[in-house]
Amino acid sequence: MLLVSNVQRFSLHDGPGIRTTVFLKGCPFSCPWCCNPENLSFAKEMYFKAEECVREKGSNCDHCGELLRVAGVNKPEDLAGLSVEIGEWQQVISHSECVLALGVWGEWYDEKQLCHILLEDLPFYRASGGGVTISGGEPLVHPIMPLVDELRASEIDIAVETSLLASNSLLRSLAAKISLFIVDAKILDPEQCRTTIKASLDVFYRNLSLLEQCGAEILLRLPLVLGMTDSADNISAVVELIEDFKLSRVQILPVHNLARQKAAQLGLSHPEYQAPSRARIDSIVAQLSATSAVVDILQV
Amino acid sequence: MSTFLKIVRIGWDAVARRGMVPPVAAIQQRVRKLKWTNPELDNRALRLLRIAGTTHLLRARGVDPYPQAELFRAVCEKSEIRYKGETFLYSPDFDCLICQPSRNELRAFGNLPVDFERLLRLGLCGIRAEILDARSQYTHDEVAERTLNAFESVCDSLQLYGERCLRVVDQFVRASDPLNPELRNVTQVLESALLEGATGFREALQTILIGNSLLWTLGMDLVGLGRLDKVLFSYYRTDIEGGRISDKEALRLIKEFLRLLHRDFYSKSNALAGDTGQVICLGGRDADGQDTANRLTYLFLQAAAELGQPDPKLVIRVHPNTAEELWDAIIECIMQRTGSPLLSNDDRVVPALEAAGYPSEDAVNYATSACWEPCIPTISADQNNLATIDFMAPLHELLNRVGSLPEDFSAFKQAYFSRLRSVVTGIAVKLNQLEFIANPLLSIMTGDCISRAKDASEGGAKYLNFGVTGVAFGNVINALLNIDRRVYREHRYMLREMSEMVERNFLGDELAFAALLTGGDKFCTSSETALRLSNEIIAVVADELKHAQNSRGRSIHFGVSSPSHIEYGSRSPASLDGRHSGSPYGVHISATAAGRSVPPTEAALFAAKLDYNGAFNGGVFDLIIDHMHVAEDRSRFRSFLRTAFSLGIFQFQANLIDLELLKRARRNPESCPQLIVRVWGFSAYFKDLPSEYQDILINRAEAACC
Repeated sequence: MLLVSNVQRFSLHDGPGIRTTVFLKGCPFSCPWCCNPENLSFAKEMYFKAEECVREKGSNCDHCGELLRVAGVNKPEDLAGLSVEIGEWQQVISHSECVLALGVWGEWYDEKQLCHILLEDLPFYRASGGGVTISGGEPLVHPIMPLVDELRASEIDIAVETSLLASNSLLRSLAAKISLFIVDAKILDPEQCRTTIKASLDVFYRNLSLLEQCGAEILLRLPLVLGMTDSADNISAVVELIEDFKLSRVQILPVHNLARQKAAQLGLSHPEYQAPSRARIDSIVAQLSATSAVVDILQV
Repeated sequence: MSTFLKIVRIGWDAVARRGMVPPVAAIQQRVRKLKWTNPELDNRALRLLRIAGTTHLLRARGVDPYPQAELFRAVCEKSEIRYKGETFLYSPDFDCLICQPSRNELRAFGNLPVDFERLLRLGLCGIRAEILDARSQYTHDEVAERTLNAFESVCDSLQLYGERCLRVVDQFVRASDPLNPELRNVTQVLESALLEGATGFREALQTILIGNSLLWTLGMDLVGLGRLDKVLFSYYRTDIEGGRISDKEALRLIKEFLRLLHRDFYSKSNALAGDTGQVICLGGRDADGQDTANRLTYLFLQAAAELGQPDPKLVIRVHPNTAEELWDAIIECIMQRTGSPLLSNDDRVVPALEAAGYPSEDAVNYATSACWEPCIPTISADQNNLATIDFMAPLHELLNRVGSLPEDFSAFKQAYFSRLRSVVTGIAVKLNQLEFIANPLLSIMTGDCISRAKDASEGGAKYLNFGVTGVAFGNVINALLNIDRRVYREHRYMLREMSEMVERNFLGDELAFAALLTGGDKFCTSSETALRLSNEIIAVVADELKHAQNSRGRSIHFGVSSPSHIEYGSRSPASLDGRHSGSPYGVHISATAAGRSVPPTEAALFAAKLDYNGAFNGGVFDLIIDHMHVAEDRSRFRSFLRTAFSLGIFQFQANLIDLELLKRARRNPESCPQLIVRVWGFSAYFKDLPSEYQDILINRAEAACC
């Protein structure tokens, strides 16, 4: 079973062609600028959109009353971010009439069921050279192999978007089945990486070496966050990484703050992050383009 | 009738009734009801009204072709011919007011493609010879003789008009630059083309322009142009092979041709600025499935892309053997963001026409009427936009009158179908009473009219079938599905309670409204239930119309695309799809009413499975997409389109949107005067659209681009 937060059809920026991206819910790391805060927790969780709540606007609506009682809280905003895996919740949520302000991130799917959904756009994958991209969260900490095998049985092109912070053996078995690894490179200073995103760079490099040995196709994706990933040292480290691993494609992703609203709906704080200036981005692109890699900017 | 003429008619009727020019304020009040906002045109109409009755205002009545031929003679004698040194002479006279009777049961022809293929091929001499032949067949038939006299008269009038054109050009040339070879070309073309038929590309284009201008001057609406790449190709090839023109020169001539057709954009417009019906159909397959696209197909696309004007509009017929190169040219044109071309799927349209009784050799030659309705050019006088089925109206009736609750949804659905059948029958009865004002000019350009000695209005053309469009189709599917879910399966509400919510326009029912809008199965999504219901409704209407064929053998076709989604929505109460009173209905086959952003692939898969054999009078899959999604990878967009067509979508049109630009234009329309958008079946300047249309586009763009 896989916990899925979203299935995005007609996905155009997560690999070649027309794709469907499936977002798995749950990530062990904590990139401060994460643009998918709904995919941090490994459990189904409630969200609350205050701006949509008619009760907040003064109506005497009580459609969330039963939910408040089960959760033992007084106000609907206290429901935000609550884990809602247990059975009692399912009943209450499915009967809630509040379709505007309250909802749940996450739905459990078995692999066959999920594969059926992911195959709906099959004719478009075939014609465009597209397929399915498994993203997250961190997809490689989820049991994705049965899904990968289901998709492979239908000859579907598969990409994964990952920070490579996964078990070496899993990656070894995946390498032959995945046609594109979209690898997120973030902070390449070991200490800063450990303290900021709670990840080990050793694992990252070891897994990148493994992919290189397996001849896997790699697209390096670099989020550009002012004061976090755009330092001269970090960019030099990225250049070194591109050259060491002879990477041919790099995608720059200037950070955006689209996640702030989603974080607030989950009761999480999400400071505002800024992308570097256009001039600085251009200079980084120039620096990276001086390697053998083709560099492009992904605007969201 | 163009809105301009409507405005003038308002004034004229007032003159006729009261013998005086109406006060300006009264006219303005009527003009506002037409939702026509172009001040330049308002002023022009007002100016004209001040002198109404003193211009060369022409009047004719009835179904007899002869008075119409006399009226045509007056047009050819009196209408103003303007020429200022253009490559072609093109001079529709919109000040030459033709007053036709406006009784509902007597209609003027319009909304169909007229390609003048017969005039190009035969010339007036050839057409006269046909008339002579026909006379020998009808020697003792007074009615036929009178009709043939009318046809003969039209030929004489056309010749007269041609001679006047020649004099006007000749005078201009003498006065300006007698040695200018370009101007001398215009004269030479006019000297022979009309009488003897076209011999080259330039003559052919000029002849079409003369015929077309006269149709507009006669007050005909929404004049399409047919399959011009097919009609013009032999003339183009002759000139190219004879070394008389180069490809570059042909492109220049086509651009000039398109520019002149665009020049009277506002005067030609019907319901909204841009709704001119000037559609040029290109490409397509023959009976063996072979691609018929030729060099002109590409030149027209290139010319349209380079001109970047909203009108005329292109319709490209595509099929499995459409060349990759042509797809590239199509996408290049779409990328110019003029809302053109609309694409039409031969593999769905041709079989649908065949299933409706059109022989294969005719079906494969289809073009479209003003927007998207398939129509056979040259031999057909089909009138494809005569009425609209409002799919929501029978449901409103049912909700208002329902006594006891039908025991299950199946029974409720049957009750809806029964009311829908009554609505359709009512429309069919009215249509079958229609008569058409004779149009001898159209008749001599349309095959069989001469040999049968019958005006097109009397059934002279091979086809005179009728078409109706459909509005609120997606909305009614969603409303019915909501009734099934909320009343019968979830037992949340009684039907009466839902009816009351509609009555109070969902005031105080925000959550119930949201649940209707967002919950459950929806039109244009992956829902098999929604698809099944859609095809059931199509089958009900098609079956009802099949039985409505009248004694003259005319059949009535319908489609699920409609130009009226705002107009009908504005006067309709709230509905159970999650729509407030007065809000617009959904746009064609699109995910407008799904309550969420539906991916284009999901929507296309749904659209591809609708039963177009039952509903072929238009089935446009309407897409709004971020222009960057296309710009960054055209081959991906091409794959999307090709796949959608191979799956079976019927027709396709797109707005490539830059959301920020659209919002800026909404705030200050004059800041983006050249911004063009696709409206229902035509392209228009964004600044000319009423605000509710602008808002719809922005709302849809926000859903698509976020």
